[in-house]
Amino acid sequence: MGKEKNFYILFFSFFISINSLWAQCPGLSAGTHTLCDPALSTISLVHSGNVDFNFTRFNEINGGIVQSGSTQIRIKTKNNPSSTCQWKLVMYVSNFSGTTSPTDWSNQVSYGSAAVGVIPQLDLLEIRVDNFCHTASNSGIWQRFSALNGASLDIINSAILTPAGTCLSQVNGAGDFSSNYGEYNFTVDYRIIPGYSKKPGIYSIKIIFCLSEM
Amino acid sequence: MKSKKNIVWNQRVKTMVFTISLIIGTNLNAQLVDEQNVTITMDLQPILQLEMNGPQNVDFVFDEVYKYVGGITKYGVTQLKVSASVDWDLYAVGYSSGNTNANPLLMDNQVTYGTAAPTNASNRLDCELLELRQDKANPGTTAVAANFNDYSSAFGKSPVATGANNIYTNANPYTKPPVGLKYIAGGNAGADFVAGGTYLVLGGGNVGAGSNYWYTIDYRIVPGLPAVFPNTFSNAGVASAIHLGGVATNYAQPGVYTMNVKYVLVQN
Repeated sequence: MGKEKNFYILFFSFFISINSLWAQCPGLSAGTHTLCDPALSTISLVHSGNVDFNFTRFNEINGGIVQSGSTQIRIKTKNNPSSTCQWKLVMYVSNFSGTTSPTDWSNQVSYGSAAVGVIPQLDLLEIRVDNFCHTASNSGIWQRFSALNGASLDIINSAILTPAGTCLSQVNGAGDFSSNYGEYNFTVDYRIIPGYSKKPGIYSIKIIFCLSEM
Repeated sequence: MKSKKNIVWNQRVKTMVFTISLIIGTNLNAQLVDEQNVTITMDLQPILQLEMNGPQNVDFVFDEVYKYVGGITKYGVTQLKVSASVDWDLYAVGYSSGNTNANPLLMDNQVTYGTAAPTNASNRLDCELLELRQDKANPGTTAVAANFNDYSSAFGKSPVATGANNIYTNANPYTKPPVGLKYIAGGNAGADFVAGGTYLVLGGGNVGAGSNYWYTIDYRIVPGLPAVFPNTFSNAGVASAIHLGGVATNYAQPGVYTMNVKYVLVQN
């Protein structure tokens, strides 16, 4: 009886671990969705990689640094046969967890005295998303994440299907950036204004741009 | 007649087949999920900027009796402007290269006038004889009884035996004044500081010269007659032991003397 119990525990543990690998994008809605073709639907970044903010002069501390167009998001979505694809695009902030407080940036290195200053919180980063048709939520407006690991900001997230080519807000049907550049290409700007009394050091966070089916 | 063992095995196989079918089925109709990541790195370097306006040399020429008696006061000679991204302290320290009696706390004697070694004349002038006055009180310090926290006291009528305005001296200028000695802003204790900021931006209702990030410094030297520099006292009101060799009957040897005043802005 004991061996049988162990067998089932082992088997279902394996099954659960396999399933968890698919859930890389946080905030995925429950249930089976088959509206979009997952093989031909992609999100890609132009100028992807690291976005570095180096604050070495006082005018930068005081006035901040803006990195315009540092990331471009390009969406390509395709209908599954006999279905109508409807997608959403959400960005999440991550501080890599670990020993970091859930509200703070991940501190890689500290300069100077250890006890001096305040560790910056996750709401320090400002993000502005826009495209030619201004389809994004809060298009062209600086936004901040809540100061909590895993907090999200919607770029496209609407229950109503808005097809490609309309150049309206929240276009979320099948389409791609090569045919409808103004709706399926997003430009992302970043801004940080540290201000005074932050603890000097090197900090990092990760922004996850997540494309998923509604 | 099936055995109990076979029944259990059949149940296992059925469960496995069902689950594998579920996995395969899920894969065939996989939900659209795709993601891309961007890492944001922020390098916050500690920035301390001290801007000093005014002449590099401040000359006091005592060539009239009234200048000896009343001293020479130079108002608003130095403006100190601070911009800092971190909490900070600002202090002044006086010292020399030590060419007089090998003591960096005595002013350097560059030239001696007249006879080389007249009776009772001494070239040992304590750097502490220089008096400073800042235009506003130290905003980031806690009081220490019987001592002065800053240089904000008005220049008193000579002789002044309190040490209210005498400069802090140290052979090592990067040693912060201990607790109980003068800072222009902030203090030695960890809780004594001025928060990061700048004179350029409105803060606490003030900006520019009115802010806690801008100080104007006056200087005074009073030689007295005879030239014994009667205001030379420590911050606790103790007469200098090295001044004029510590001999009460000595007076200052005429000549040219120099010292260095260093303004140090340091992270708290």
